[in-house]
Amino acid sequence: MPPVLVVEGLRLYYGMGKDVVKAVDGVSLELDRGEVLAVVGESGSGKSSLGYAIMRLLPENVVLYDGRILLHDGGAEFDIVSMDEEALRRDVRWKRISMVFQASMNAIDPVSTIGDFIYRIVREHRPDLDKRRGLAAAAEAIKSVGLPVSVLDMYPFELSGGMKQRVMIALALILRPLVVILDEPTSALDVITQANVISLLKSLRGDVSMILITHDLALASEIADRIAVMYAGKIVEIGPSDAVLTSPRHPYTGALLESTPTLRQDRALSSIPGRVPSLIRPPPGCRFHPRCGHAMDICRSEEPPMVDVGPGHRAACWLLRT
Amino acid sequence: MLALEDMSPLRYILLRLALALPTMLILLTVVFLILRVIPGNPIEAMVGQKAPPEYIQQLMEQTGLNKPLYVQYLDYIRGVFTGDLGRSFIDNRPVIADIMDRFPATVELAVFSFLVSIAIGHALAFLAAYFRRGVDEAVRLYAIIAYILFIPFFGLALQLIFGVYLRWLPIGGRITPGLEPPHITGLYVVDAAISGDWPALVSALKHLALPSITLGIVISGVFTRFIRNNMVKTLEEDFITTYRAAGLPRWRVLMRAYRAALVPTITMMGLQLALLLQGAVLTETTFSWPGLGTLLLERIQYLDYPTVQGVVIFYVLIVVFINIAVDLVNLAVDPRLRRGVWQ
Repeated sequence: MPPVLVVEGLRLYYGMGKDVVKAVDGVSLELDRGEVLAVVGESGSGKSSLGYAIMRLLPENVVLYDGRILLHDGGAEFDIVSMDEEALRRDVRWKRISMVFQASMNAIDPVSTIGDFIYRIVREHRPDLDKRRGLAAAAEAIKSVGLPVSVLDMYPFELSGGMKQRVMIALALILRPLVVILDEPTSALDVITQANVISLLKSLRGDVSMILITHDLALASEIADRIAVMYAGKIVEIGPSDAVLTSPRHPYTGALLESTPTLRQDRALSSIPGRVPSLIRPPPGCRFHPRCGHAMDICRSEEPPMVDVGPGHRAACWLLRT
Repeated sequence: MLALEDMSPLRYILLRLALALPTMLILLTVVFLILRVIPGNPIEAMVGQKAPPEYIQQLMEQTGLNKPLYVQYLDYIRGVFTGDLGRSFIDNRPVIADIMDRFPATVELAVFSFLVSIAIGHALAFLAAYFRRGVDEAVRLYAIIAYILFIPFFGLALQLIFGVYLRWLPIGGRITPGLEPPHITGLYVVDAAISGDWPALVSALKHLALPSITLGIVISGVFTRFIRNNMVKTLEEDFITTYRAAGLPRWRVLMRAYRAALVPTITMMGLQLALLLQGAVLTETTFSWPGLGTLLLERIQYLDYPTVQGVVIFYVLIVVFINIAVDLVNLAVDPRLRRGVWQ
């Protein structure tokens, strides 16, 4: 079976004043059916932009958006980058790809009940459902994320942050899409609620393909089948979670892991020197070289290619070539 | 403070009315004093300076103008609170009767101007928010121009074009004399429609056209800008991204943005309605529209104290009622108010 989603050479640049921000700069990845792929990276690595780019939710000041995003559904193939706006709206958005936004706090219409809000979106893609059946479907979805049906009659200001996050997850799943993009689904929640949402996400594994965008390596290791590490608009390493976490091949991945606290080992926490590079003027060559302890001459001038380092495990580093 | 979410609507209305009392008292006092400061004697203004002094003295006693100022003031306040606005110096009719004669004309003008401005404001704001860029720039320019238009001048221009050159529309008055519909509500359009008097209805609408378009356009500047700004601001919010991601058509996303910004929009429209009454004074005089505004202006010239004071109180009452109505409509529109909880 072909992968459900294939991203090839995706670029998203947008203008900021006179500068161009290269938020996503040539990203390629594949997502299999039922698979969970975590995209991890620091703030400003372009991982959220990647999520928006896959949904084709572009900022108003976009200056470049190209590459290919192929979505396979049975025999049908959609190229999200180039397809017609109306077809995208009708055939892809929410029906085949949905998204749980980072700011779920404000992602719900403030002057609608949850029921009306969900039904308004369902009706757009399922005109066959009348209000009664639409609300019944909404009730079903709400129950599946562990919320009481009475939530449907409530307004977002009457819900807690965790409840809103669950509502958004229910909404993202209600049309049974092929792919759900989850942008930092737990970052705004307290620890207990985080745990709840994480176990909810775990229970959904397998039914739907997920792209989990997070800075939280622990979350990624818990849920993801594969992990992609993003740095300055590019993917620097991608592979099965175990492989990436236990034997990282890119120095950045290694540094990222060493800066993550763990309960199992007693070791000093290190931090990565320097700062996330500017997406406006990224360093030449390998973008990580100014912060890399292993940097060589070639790293400063030439961009390293992706090389296979294990089964399904690839990384972009000159160290792996020599 | 006075917050609607803490109490029942009825209690809220009563409290709002009670709180309006000091405002009215202050306004009454100010108007009372200003009228007395204006040079001239109302009795002389009424009967002329050549009238015999005994006659003038007699009239002064009749109207109570011979009493000390503070007695006049207290008498007047007492009258107002017992529902007696006094009698006009000019026609000796109860002031309230003069007001009621003129009020329907003002209501008719205000309502039609309001409709014109709401229609223009919404249409342009939606166009601006939908297309943005050039359309948006043009709409914003329109809003500013409309806002700074001077009613007598703009009205005169419309009178010249549509009344004098093109001869499409009458330039003054409420209706062609002789066509007045039977008195039911006092609103010619409504009365003519109820009694099926088509010539009267057509004539009334034609007479309404120029004044209500003049005033409507001027008020529409604020509407347009306000609704446009609110929508553009709301369109940047996260729930709009949800709707876009969910595949709602652009115009439906726009409707949701409008809906979310409805409470401030209604509040603003209510405030504009009060402003409309003020603009109506200028419009009425420009188009010889026999409403409260022209009444006020006529009677100020004659120093008809009771009528001028009465009209001012009446305006204040209208504004108070509009504000209460706005709050009640918002109560129906905003779930956060309705549920009595703020986040």
